[in-house]
Amino acid sequence: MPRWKKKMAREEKKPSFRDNQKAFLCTVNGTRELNIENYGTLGDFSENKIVLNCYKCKMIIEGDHLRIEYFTDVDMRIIGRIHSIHF
Amino acid sequence: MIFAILHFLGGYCQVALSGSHQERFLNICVSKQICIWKLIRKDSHYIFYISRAGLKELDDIVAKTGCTYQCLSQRGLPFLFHRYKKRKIFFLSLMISFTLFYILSLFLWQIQVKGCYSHSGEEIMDYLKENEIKGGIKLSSISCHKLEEQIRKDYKDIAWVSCDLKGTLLTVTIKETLDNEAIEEEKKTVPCNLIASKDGTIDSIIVRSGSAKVKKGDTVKAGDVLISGLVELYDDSGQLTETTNVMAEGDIYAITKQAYSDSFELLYYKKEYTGNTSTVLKLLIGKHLYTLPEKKNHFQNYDEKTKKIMLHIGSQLYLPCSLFVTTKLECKIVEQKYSQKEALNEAKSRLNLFENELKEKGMEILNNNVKITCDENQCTAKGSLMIRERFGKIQEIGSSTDEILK
Repeated sequence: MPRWKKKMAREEKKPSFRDNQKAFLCTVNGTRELNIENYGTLGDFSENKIVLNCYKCKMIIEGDHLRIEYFTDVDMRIIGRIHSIHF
Repeated sequence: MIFAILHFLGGYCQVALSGSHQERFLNICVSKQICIWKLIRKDSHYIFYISRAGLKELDDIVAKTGCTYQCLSQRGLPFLFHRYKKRKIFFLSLMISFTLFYILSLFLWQIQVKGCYSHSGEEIMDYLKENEIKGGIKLSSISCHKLEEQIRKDYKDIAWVSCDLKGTLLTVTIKETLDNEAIEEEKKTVPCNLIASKDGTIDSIIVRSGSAKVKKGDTVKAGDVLISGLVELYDDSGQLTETTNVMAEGDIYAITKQAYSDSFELLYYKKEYTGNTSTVLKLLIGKHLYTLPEKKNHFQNYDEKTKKIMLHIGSQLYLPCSLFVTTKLECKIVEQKYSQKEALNEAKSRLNLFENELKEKGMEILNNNVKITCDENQCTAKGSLMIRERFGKIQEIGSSTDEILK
C-alpha cells in the first residue's frame, strides 16, 4: 500500500473530539494555572502574551513566564504568572 | 508520574522549531492529534517535547508550513535500545546473571548456630544434617516452627531455641539450661582427706570441715595429711565414743619451691620481610576448587596466610561459593647472634613470662633465686622461685561409720 494511502487511512480512523462550533471552556486555578478546552487554534505565543483564536472571539492571556504545559486537540494548559485574560 | 513513565516507555524527543509560520505548525500538530507538552518560547524558537510517534509525522507538517525543526535530545526506552543495539550480549548476560541470582536465592546456603556452650556448633550442625537441613535445600521445604519443636524434643537441656530464616541464611539460636542431675551429683559428700600435693611449708590453714593435722609453720612432704576427714568424737570423760568420716574442706596456703630452668643458643635465625607480596585467589563452588590465574613469583622464602571469604550480598543473601585469598609475604632468613646484653634481656623476658603465668594461676612469687649465665654459644637460666600457693588435694577414704561402744 503506498505511503499516502496509509496516512489517509490512519487519519480517517482517529476520532476528533473537537467541536469547532462550540464555545471554549476555561478553568482558572489561582493565578498560575489556566485550563482551556475547545480553544480553537493558537494565534501567537510568547513569554508575556498568548493569543488564542476561539469560536467567535479572540482570547488574550497576559502575564510573565508563560508556558504551555501541554497542548492536545482536546485541551491545553497554560502555566505561569497570569496577569489578565481578556477577549 | 504515570505520563512520565508512559512517555519514557514510548520514547520522546525535545524539538526546537524555527522558521516561519510556527503557530500554524503547532495548530496542524494539534489537529493531527499529536501531543505536545512543555512548550516554551525562546528568542524566535519554540522548544517543546513530542512523542516518538509524533516525531515521525513532523516532516510532512514541516513541508507544508516551511518551518525547520531540530531534535535536541532523544530519551526513552526505544532510543536506549537503539543506542546499545551492539551490546546485546552484555544485556543478555546481565539478564542471565539476574535470573541465576534469583534461582540461587531460592535455596539455603548458610547455617549459623549461636549460643552454644556445652553442645558444640558442629554437634548442632550434624544434628541438622541428620534432619535433612543442610546447604542446597529449598527454602520452601524448611519449617522453622517444626525444627524448633524437634530440637526442643531431642535436647532436654536446651531451654529455648529460635530458628530464623532470612535470605539464604538460617540462624539457629539456642539457650542451654544447667544440668540439674550433674549439680545433684556434685553436691553429694564423699568422705575424703586433704593431703599435700608437694613439699612445702604451711603459711595459713583454715578448716571448714574435718580436723587439722598441721599448723602454720609446719614443713610437710608430698602425701602428708593436712586436713583429715576422720572426725573423732569424745565424751565428757575424754574417751573416744565415735569416729565419723566427713568430706575434709578448708583453705590451705603453703610456701613451695618452684624449679626453673631455661637455655637457648646465642645464634638464631630472624625473618626480615622485604615487603614484596603476592596474592593467589581460589574459588570454591560446591566441592570444586578453581585457582584463578596468578602472577608467577619467584620467592625463595615466604610466609603464607590464607583467608576464607563467604560470598554474600548484604548480610543475609549467601551464595554457594567462597573465595580463598592466599597472601605470600616474601622474607629473608638472616642469621644473627645475641650479644651478651641482648642474651641477658632475652633470658629475663622469658623468666618474666613464666612468672606471669604463675601469677595468672593465683600464685604469689615471694623470692627469685634464678641465675642467668652466658658463654660463647649458649645462655642458661637456672634456679628456683619461692611461691605462695593454694595447697592440698583430695584423697578419698572409706565411707563406713565406726562407733566405739563404751
